[in-house]
Amino acid sequence: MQERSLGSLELVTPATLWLGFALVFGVFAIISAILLYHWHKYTFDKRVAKKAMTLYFSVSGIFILSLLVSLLSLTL
Amino acid sequence: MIELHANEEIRLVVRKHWFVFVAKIAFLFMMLFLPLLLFFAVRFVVGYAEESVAGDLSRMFNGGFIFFLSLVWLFFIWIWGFVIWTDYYLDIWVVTNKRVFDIEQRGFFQREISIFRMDRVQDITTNVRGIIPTFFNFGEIHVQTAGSDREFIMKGAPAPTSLKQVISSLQDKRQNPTDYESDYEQGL
Repeated sequence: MQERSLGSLELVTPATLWLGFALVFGVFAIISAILLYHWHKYTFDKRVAKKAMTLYFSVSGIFILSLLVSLLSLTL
Repeated sequence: MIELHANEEIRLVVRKHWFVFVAKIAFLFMMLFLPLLLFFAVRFVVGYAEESVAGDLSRMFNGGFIFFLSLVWLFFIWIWGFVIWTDYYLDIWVVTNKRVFDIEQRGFFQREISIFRMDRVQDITTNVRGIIPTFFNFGEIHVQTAGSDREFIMKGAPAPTSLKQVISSLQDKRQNPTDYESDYEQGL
């Protein structure tokens, strides 16, 4: 019984990991688009919005790059 | 974003007290440590499980995979932190010499803008309740306007007593007849 249920964990194949990464990237893209819209349209201080955007996208870029490197090391 | 009348000037832009934001973000901060918990949970299970199960789990949750999952988790927390900040940042009261705009952002897809005129203000009440609000000087401010059942409330307003004084003094200026005359001349 235990072995059978653990067998389902083997679903985590390289393809699943890449799919997961694509999903994460998709969610990031959608939320970023919404955040950008709000920062552009509703902000009272353009400088603050610009700083927020720079920080958000720089750190997010580092995260995406790290995810890619980690994924490559797991799947190759 | 907001359209000002002629001779209308922004006097104050009030955002909720920073503690309100910190309180919201504190939960996310605690969530940062969840991957560590997962790591120790797997090690615990591996330590007590049968050999075959332990082997499967060790293969499955190797260092690289846990690192990948942790990165995904931290990335989502980072994004969610900005979602919370944006919600906090766009929630404001804009006080002009004639009106107050109460702009409330509720999540991403609901934005409420209420306006009340200074000369319609009847009563302003502030309420600072609790140890933390007293210590950091923030609380609620309620503004009751004439001819309306609506009460304007800002929760977590910084220095509510000072804000009340600013609105009261602007209201007093608005009730100066000469001011009305100049408005009338400009067709307001």
